[in-house]
Amino acid sequence: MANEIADSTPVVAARRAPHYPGTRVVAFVLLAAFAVVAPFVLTEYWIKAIAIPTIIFGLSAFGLNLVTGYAGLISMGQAAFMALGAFTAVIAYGRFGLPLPLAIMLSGAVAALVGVIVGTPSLRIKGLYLMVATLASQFIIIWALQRVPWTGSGSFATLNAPPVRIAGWDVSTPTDKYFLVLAVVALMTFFGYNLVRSRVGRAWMALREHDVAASVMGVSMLQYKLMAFLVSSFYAGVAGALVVFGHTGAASVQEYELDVSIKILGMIIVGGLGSVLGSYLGAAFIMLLPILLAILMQKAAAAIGGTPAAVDTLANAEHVVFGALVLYFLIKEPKGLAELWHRLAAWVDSKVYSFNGAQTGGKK
Amino acid sequence: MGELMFGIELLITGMLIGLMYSMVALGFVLIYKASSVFNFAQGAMTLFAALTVVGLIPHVGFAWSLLITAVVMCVVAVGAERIVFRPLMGSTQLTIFMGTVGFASILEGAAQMIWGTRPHGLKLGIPHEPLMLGEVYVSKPDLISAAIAGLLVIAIVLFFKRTKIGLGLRAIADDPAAAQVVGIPLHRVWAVAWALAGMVAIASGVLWGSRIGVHFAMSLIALKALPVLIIGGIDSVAGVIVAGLIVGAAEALGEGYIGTHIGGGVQDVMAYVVALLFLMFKPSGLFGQATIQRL
Amino acid sequence: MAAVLAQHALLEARNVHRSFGGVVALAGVDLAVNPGEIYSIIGPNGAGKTTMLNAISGVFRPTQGSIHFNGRDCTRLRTHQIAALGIARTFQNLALFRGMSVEENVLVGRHALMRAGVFECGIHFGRARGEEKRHRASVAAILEFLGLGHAAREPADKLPYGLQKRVDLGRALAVDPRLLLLDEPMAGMNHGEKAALMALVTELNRGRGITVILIEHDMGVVMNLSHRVAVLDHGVKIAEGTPAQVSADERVIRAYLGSEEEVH
Repeated sequence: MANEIADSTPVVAARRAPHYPGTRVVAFVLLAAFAVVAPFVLTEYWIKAIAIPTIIFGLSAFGLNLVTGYAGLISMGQAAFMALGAFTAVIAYGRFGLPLPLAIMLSGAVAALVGVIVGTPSLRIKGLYLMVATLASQFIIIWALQRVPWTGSGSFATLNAPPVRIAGWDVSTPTDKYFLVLAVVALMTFFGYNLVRSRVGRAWMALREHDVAASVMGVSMLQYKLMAFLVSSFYAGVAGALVVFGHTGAASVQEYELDVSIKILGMIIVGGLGSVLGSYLGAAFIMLLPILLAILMQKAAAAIGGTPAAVDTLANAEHVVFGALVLYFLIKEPKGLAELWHRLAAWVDSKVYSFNGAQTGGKK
Repeated sequence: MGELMFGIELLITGMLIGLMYSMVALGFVLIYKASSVFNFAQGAMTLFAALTVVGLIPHVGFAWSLLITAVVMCVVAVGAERIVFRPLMGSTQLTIFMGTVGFASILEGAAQMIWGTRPHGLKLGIPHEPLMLGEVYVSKPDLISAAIAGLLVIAIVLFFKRTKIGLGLRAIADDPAAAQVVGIPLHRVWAVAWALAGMVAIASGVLWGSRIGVHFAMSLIALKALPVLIIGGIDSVAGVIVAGLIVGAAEALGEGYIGTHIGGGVQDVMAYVVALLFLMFKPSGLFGQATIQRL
Repeated sequence: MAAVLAQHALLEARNVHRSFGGVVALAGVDLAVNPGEIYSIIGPNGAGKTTMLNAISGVFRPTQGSIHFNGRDCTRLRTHQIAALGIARTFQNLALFRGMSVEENVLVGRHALMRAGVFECGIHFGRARGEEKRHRASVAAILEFLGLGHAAREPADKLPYGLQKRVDLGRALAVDPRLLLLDEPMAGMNHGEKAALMALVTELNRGRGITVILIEHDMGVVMNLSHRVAVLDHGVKIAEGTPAQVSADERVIRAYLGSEEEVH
């Protein structure tokens, strides 16, 4: 059934690119520069509590986008894979003394391995059936982590990691951790960006749209669907490791329950399915949401002259707003924040060109 | 009491609980049969309904609170159909599913904002002394809950088979375009399906609430109905009943026999493990149509 | 050149059966297509034409019988292995990939010809980069040939129908096929578009030596283009021969008339 109505599956390259990068390149350069100086201009609180987790979740969201946005396979288990990565990280680094880079890679690998197993049903089942399989996996993995002896014990199984060092560099201050996280995420984002613009990315998108047609063109459904789960879970695993080494210093199972998987799903819906930029925009938006809400509600309370809201109410308000945002973007802006950005950038481009007296031609 | 009696007791208790899972799953089936939508928000609807009932009881008593909640759930359900799902018509199944995820989030947040996050107890006034069937203990509340659930399931089956709207629902599920051509009012029928799912949510919420209390985890219980759906076959009412019994029994037996060795908690995942097995080997479930696309 | 293999069929279907549940779509069809020819399969609706095409392109396996390409039994191959053999096809419903540009759609056809793995693609600099450049150039040539050069970066599903059909064709050509299966390529086209497409198919066949199997309802097109025609009815081949032979065949005429009256 052909549906002309918006379905959120854009691709960066499908857009008509301007004659030279223009606004987008400028924005990218500015962002990169800001990212490098951020620890020196933002307060420690902003770095520790906002920037670092946002970047980490951005990576996890990007991973989810690969399997759900590009390959079209809904996964409700991204948080569980992060958990696997987190615990692997602590055990590999803390208990077995592996060097940090190796521990991080191992975290990704373990998550990837489980991810492939979880993804195996995707060869026989599609859509919502697959969703239930990933949902089941989310529950089972967390349940198992809570019962396996190596991960502490009980519902709040937590393992603490020893102080983080790489080759003599003590990663102890927030600034250190920030750069560690930034470096890993930048590297993996570069890799992923190349991947989605290569034949692998095209194969995924083709499978998403018409898997039979794709396979007739030579794309192996088996190989590429499993590959999607593998890569996506790898990213989640690394993100989990970064939570340990760059954020909380511990792997704690209750941080990776179903609601976190849903949150990450919300990030890519809001940010833009099938978009690299969208993954990070969505992550930033959802991570900043509680702060925005808190400020708004405080202002509102002050305006009405009432008492500031309780923590509970805030958390619930977040839920409501989160759900409303997801619905809004699904219905009205299916290509997400990434598309909004592209429209803005295109508009700025046109203004810049006309300011310079250049021909703008017909703007699409 | 012998091993066998222990086993039978577990089995009976499990199956009674299983019927309650079936009831929750019915809410999913209603909406799926009518619109091919997997309503992730059924759990949130159950929580919302339960909280509303419990919240109103101190003010207007049980009977009125049920009635008012019924009206509220109708409004919520119809509102969902109109505001959330009509705009998403024509999108892929996955997109609509993500819409239900968003909707679930809204409902959960709203429910707890309105009624608070404290767990509430819910007393239905059923005496707690267990019944004795031969040498086996059976909990009365469980029995009555299961009976109510069973009645509800039968009522809905009859609804599908006998009433005009029920037939309309089945027609729409089969072929929406043809149904429209014949003059079946698509949106009205959908609204009815959603409202019915809302009623199922109330029943589930009240019955489960009397069993485990009304609190946030209730939406997770409802999620357990998803494995029931898978095992039974997503569009089969008979499947939902049988699957519920199986899941309930598997949980109880699993917990009773395996759980004691590994520190408990087997019942939390049993349903999902069984569902996963079905998904790997027989995705259409026990009674569903095998229309899942094969490679 | 094709002359060497002239007597050896490029594609052979032997006793192909295919059922879906209780419905028999193909009940023992034998076909032999010679290299370099345009071979049409016609028949009333429901005759099993698309099913035959699906069997040849590996979408599913025949329940009975075998398919041979270039002398090799390819019945048991998995769908995605067919493209590597040099068999490509278009689709009745186009099956274009939304969210991707024209260029990207056609590039998917290059998939089997590209070798870079996940890791190499992620690193980009190295084999993947060179491959990407080369194949984009090939695709650009295909787009030029089809008159789609100006639309390369456009979203494929936003193009007018006629151009979308060309994208579908371009995607099949990107496979670099020896055998091209066209599933009702003329559907929904006006006279001028049909003429243009016929010229294209002729060029592909005569100029590039691509063997074509064509499913088509437009008899004018079929008679004009085909070297040979096979007629299917109710899953069985009832006639085969040159266009002239087939159009004069009693059984064929009856099949087309009979299908309206349900004589059988």
